[in-house]
Amino acid sequence: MTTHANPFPGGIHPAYHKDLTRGCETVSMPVPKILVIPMSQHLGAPAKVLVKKGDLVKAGQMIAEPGGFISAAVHASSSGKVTAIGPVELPNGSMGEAVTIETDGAHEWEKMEPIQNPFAADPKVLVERVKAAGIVGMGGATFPTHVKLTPPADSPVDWVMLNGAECEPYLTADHRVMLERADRIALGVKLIRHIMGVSKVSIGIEGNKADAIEVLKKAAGDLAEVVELPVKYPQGSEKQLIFAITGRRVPPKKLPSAVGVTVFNVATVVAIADAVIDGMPLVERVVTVTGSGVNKPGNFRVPVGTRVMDLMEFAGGYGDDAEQMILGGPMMGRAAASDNVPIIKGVGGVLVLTAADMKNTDFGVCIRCGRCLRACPNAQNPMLLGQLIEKGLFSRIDEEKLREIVLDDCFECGSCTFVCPNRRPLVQFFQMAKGYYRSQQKRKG
Amino acid sequence: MSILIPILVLTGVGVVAGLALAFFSRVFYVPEDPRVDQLEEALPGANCGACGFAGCRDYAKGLVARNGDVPPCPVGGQSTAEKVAAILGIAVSDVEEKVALVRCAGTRDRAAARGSMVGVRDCAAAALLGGPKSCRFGCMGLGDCGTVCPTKAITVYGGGVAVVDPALCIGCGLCVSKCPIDCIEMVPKGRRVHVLCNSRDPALVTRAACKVGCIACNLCTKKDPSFVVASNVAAFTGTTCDPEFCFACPNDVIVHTDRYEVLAFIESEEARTDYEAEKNEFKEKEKAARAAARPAREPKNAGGQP
Repeated sequence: MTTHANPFPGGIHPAYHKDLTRGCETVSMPVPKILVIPMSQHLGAPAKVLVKKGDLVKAGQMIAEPGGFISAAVHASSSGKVTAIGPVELPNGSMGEAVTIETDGAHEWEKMEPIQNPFAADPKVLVERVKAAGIVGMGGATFPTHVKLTPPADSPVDWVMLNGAECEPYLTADHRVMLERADRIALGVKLIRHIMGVSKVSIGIEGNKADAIEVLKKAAGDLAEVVELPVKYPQGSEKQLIFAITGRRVPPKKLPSAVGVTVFNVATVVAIADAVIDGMPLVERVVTVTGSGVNKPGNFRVPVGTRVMDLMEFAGGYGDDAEQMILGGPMMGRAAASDNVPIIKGVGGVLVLTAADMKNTDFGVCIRCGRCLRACPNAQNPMLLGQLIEKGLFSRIDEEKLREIVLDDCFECGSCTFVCPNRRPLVQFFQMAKGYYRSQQKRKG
Repeated sequence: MSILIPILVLTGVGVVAGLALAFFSRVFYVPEDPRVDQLEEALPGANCGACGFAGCRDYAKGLVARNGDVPPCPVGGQSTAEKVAAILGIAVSDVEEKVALVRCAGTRDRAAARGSMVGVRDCAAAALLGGPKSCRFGCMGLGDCGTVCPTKAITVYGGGVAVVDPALCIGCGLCVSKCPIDCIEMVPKGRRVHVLCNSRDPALVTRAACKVGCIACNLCTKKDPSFVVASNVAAFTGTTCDPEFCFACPNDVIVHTDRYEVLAFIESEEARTDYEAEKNEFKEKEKAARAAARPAREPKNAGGQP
């Protein structure tokens, strides 16, 4: 069954550039010589290292346990020897602890026991398995999945949603996952229905992926309804997706469980099925390598911890005029200063742009045209906020109030920046202000 | 003649309003402690807000209300503290005058770059992505500190490192709270030796990132106990030391302001050449001293065949 969804207010229509890799079947990348596996690949506390320097590890072996309730385990992506444990640069530019493994090429597995007859098993056992497999949200936010699977008792979940919108321009990783692993997604849906005891499951897919809608409709059958979403950025944002399918609005600063909904990325659902049926922990993910600065764009199944430079070498290297690299999509990804950073569970794309793609970054003053007001999916006032922050006034106005009303609710989709005719870096201003508040909080202790 | 009417009307209004003002200023007179005015007079009048009050008058009111039990004015120093104490009739507390110091000498030619920075030219924005330099602790040189400085004492020079002019700095500390990577420190005004590095990375990382980074080798602490090494970076805690001790540093991180101004030490080629020459001289001297201290080795085969 296909139904059509309500369009959310605001949003933009960027050029999608998905044709570069839409048709590229996922290619498994061979295990590189060096794997750098960070302990902080998820939202929440970093994982605690379980191995020592010099230890021999096997593929799928847990090398770090969760460091708290909101945290996730980390596994070795291949077999080899631990050569270093120490701080490395992470894709977001910060430094974090990581385990470096020199692989031996044998790729010896140490998987968990597959769970026999999972639909008769206690849901708690399945949640434990998801936790042990180190599964986190693979859409980018990397929220630990076992936490999502166990919503608090005071906000029961009656509707589960699969996010296959993939509204970020350029990226096609989720699209390929939906085409190639539709059966696994259906299996994952069945598992989630069993674990969470819900009967309503919707799969939201943007209308520009007609083939995926077709395939999933066939695979999911009665298990889930497939909803064709209007093609608009940021349709894949959790709150916008929930509004589009259910018409429910998640209040500011609240999680989707507040309106009885939980959202999983399609790749996360595949990972859940893999962990339960095959005993396979989350040690690889599909990454789209794309952009006009890449010689051979494509979709690759990459071991977690592969350095971007190794992935780029496998993808045919950089073009001559490559200028800038972005990890993630062009809207919400982060510019990378170096390709010596590892691919982690939440990185779905490597985008390399040429000088011709890059617009002049000089910006002017706000001309108060109000386009950003119309584009903001959160109905905020980017133009006023941007001016306050640009003038440095954000440190003087009532911090708590500003944070509560606006900044915490902004999820940095970048729509305001995209539409600004004077190229004002509005979303960058908000990120800056958020970073400032974080550092002030840290200072206060 | 009609011009007289408005003149008379306006004059009349003025007189009435003036009388009313005079009347109400007596009837609704708000008594204010005369010491507030005296204190405001005694304060530096920078209105920087570093004391935590909204300007000097507010601080004076605070002083009177709490009878001096507020943190001392960081700008005025000892002389202001004495005046304040005299007005309030309380004991003088010791105030240490401080100035800001940017603990980084990693100019563009010395510290490796990580990438080029486009977009918002602001330290707070650059810090989100780890900054434009390989060193995570060094000055990013985008000048946030300079914009908050009430006396414009901080400038980012050609090398891309902010330098504080100690003559202009009033010690308010606004730059310290603005710097997103805690690269600025308040140091006593009298201190003449500074360790110009903030890198808390281990030696190997620091070495790779910057030519003038402190690697916590402890050579300076052996020269003078006022040097202290904590969390991978040295600091000077005394007032002054023998200027020659600075040359013990293998990475040229320590500056003695009797010899070189901080600005010259960071920016001037000339000062650097002088510094190199002096350092070589010092090294030669140390070598000679070591050689003299070593017991002379017996020449081989002295004493003939066995």
